Amino acid sequence: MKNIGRWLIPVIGGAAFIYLLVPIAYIFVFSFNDGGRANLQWQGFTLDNWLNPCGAPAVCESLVHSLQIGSVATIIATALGTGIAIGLVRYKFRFRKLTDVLIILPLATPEVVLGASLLAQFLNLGWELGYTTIVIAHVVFCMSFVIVTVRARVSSLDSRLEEAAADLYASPQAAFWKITFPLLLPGIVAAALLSFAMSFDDFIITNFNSGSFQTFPKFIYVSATRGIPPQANVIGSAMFILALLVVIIGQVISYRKKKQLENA
Amino acid sequence: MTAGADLYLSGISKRFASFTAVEDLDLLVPSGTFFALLGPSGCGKSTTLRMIAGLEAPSEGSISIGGQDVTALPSHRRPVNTVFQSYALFPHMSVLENVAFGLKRKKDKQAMAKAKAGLELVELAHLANRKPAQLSGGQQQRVALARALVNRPQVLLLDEPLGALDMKLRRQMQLELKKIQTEVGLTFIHVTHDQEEAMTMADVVAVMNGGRIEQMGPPRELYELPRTAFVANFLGKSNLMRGTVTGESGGLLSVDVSGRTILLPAERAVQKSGEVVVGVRPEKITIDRVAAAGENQLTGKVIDVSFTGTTTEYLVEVEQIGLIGTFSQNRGQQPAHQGDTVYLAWDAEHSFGLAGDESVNAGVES
Amino acid sequence: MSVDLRSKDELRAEKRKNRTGIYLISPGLLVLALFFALPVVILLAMSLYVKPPGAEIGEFVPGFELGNYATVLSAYWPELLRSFWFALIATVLALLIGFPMAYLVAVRLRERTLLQGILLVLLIAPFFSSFILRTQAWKQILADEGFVAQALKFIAILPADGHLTATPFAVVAGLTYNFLPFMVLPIYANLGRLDTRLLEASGDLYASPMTSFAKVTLPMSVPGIFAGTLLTFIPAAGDYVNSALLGNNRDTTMIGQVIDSRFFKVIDYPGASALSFILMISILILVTIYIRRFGTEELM
Repeated sequence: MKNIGRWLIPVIGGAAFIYLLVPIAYIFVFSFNDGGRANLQWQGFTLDNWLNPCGAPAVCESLVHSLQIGSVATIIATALGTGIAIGLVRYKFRFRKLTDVLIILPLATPEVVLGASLLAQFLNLGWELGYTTIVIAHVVFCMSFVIVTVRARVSSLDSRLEEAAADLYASPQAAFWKITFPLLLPGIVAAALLSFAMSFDDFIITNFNSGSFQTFPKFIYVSATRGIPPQANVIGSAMFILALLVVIIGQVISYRKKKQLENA
Repeated sequence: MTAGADLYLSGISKRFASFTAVEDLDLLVPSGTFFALLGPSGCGKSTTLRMIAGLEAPSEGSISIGGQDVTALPSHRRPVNTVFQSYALFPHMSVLENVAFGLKRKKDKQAMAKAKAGLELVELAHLANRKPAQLSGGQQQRVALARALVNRPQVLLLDEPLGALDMKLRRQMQLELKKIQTEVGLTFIHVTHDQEEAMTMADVVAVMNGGRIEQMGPPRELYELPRTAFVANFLGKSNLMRGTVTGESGGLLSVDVSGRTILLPAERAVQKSGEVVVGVRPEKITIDRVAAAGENQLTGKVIDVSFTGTTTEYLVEVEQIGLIGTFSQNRGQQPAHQGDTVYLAWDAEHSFGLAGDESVNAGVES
Repeated sequence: MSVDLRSKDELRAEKRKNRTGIYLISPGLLVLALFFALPVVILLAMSLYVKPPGAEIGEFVPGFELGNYATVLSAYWPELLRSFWFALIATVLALLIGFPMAYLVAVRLRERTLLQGILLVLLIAPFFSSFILRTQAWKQILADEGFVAQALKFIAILPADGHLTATPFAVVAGLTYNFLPFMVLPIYANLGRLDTRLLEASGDLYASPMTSFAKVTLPMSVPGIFAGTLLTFIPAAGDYVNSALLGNNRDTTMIGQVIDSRFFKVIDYPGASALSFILMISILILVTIYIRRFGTEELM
């Protein structure tokens, strides 16, 4: 009886991970399909799609748009969100409860409602839907993620370290940049990556606030009826592999650094 | 090498919303002194230290270092450094960078060289490039010490720095700290709840209780002549008895304690008439199965015997007075047994007198 | 009390009151107020607009027509309930699948950091390949001509003329799949802090592994489960990509699709706004009940 429990977890867990990757594998395989625009049936292996990823019109354009929006929204959301996170944990002020509610509400609101309410606002203001409105929308919903992530990091930061810095002649600014910020950086970077991922992959909110401006997820949704070009598979696979590589390389670097220090 | 400076606290108080941590404290620590602030948890010693460091602002009073009023100065502008109990080493910097931190903030061109020398002083130069997380507790403590020392502050504050070390390492570090202090000539302020540590290392000890200094002076003086019950019980152990002064002759006070007469020199008494508390340290009392010589004598029954190797501790029940404890140095003699009747004796000059309104249990560790 | 172990009173009293805090918080708070709080208010207002008689499509005037709510509710309450129902099933499934995943990575693989790292990356990296692409992939994988459908027909689980796609089953499966990481990550974060020595102690006190799990691990993982269920249910209830791609238009329509179509196809702004608002309020109510019944104050 004891043994069943031992391998139950690895088996279910492992199977679940495989299940998670099934569509990715499918996307990857079909990125090599020589199937023309529709890409529904396997018709032959080709490297053409990978060699010419911008071959289908609008794939690259929408991708570039998504990358642009993601970068800008991430920078703004991370900066604003980090400020709030630090302010909430370290400083005392009134309206704290209200702020907490205002921060967590976006997370408790379905994307449909977020998108719809922003749309309502833009309609009433008479603003044209496009790049700017998308960026605003993304900043709003990414900020909550940033705040939650950085806030956890700030809370776990030992404030005694800043006292020690002051004791050692560091002015408040010096203490922040030399001690607080470097220690917060991993949390801020994690928040930025999360924010970028959320922004890049967002469809619903974007759909409500973009008008005719194309982003990558929008493009795929729209072409789902007609047939998603294999180039889109290439992009999807490439992004996945890129993400994998970035993290793996990061892990290897920190692992080696650790080894170096131990032998110092 | 700059010597330390005088530290002067005048009328210092610290009040928080719900309680007062420090009440009207006056303190003068001459430069070059190894000074210990001793007291139980919550007595205000840490708050006092934080105020000296500038991490806490006093509600009232002023602080001056080397003649300069620093009360309004923020922490980073005071010539004071602290060795924190938790070490507070910067985890993202190497050991060497940690030690050089204060020097770099002062734009010292020789920061790295001095930091290296500082590490050599605590014998950790070989770990200069490690990160704090890779060091043992004892090593971290030494880095924290080096990091503070290297700045040659006028006053160095140590907050229970040896708390997390094991016995052997503690003893070693106690000797080293004392050695460094005498060599470099800085003013050290050491906060601790361990009275043995305070007595071993300090030139002057101040016993704090409830936000006030109860008594201050060289360790030996404090130990041999406590002025309050708290000091008598907190610093070592004491036997305290209540009685009434019946007379004085030849410089000696006679105190009637439940029918027995106890003698003590008048100059060793805080209060010379009325109801007083008389005390004597356990190791000053001899114990034997026959009556012995001594100006003060009591007899009783042995309740408890504790053999500790170097000594035997006895608890003796003396009728109408209570429990008296003694230490008997182990010279190979046969100890008395539980239930034996024994004779206790000590010289008058070893008694001390406290005010009558003292509680005999103040400062006893529960 | 040592220099650096301060009582709660001191900490509270000493939190710096200076202006820096306000400067740090204001910009972000302003953005949230202007582009989150305000839009919700406008949404509410817009849900009460009226279409004046003889107006063109898309033309509305500010009004106070509460009847809008009654209209859309009576028309679309099946979709609303169905959305919650689908989201609930998906959340439960995600919990059943996700908990072992999280446990595997956070507890079992704690020593094997390399493997742990790889699995974590595999959990997060799919975010970077568009979820629409992945959902579409499922559609093709589960298509009638595909391997899965054929195999199930072969072993007669699926009737010969049945299909997997365009069914509620596919939609719920899609929802479960897409929100799985949202369930796993909070549980993982929580289990990562589980002290395995507690399990050792439990075993030392005669508990079988099953009992230890039920009495020690499970209760301690409640905060993670709590966060995970919320992070899964809320977006799932409002999702419409899964139902659009994997469903049909008869018995799988979710409220998100309805809102989308009423905004962009029918151009019924007040109706769509009313539906959005209803969705938001009902989720808030459900979440509040959930928190009161089960939850902790500190979600963050």
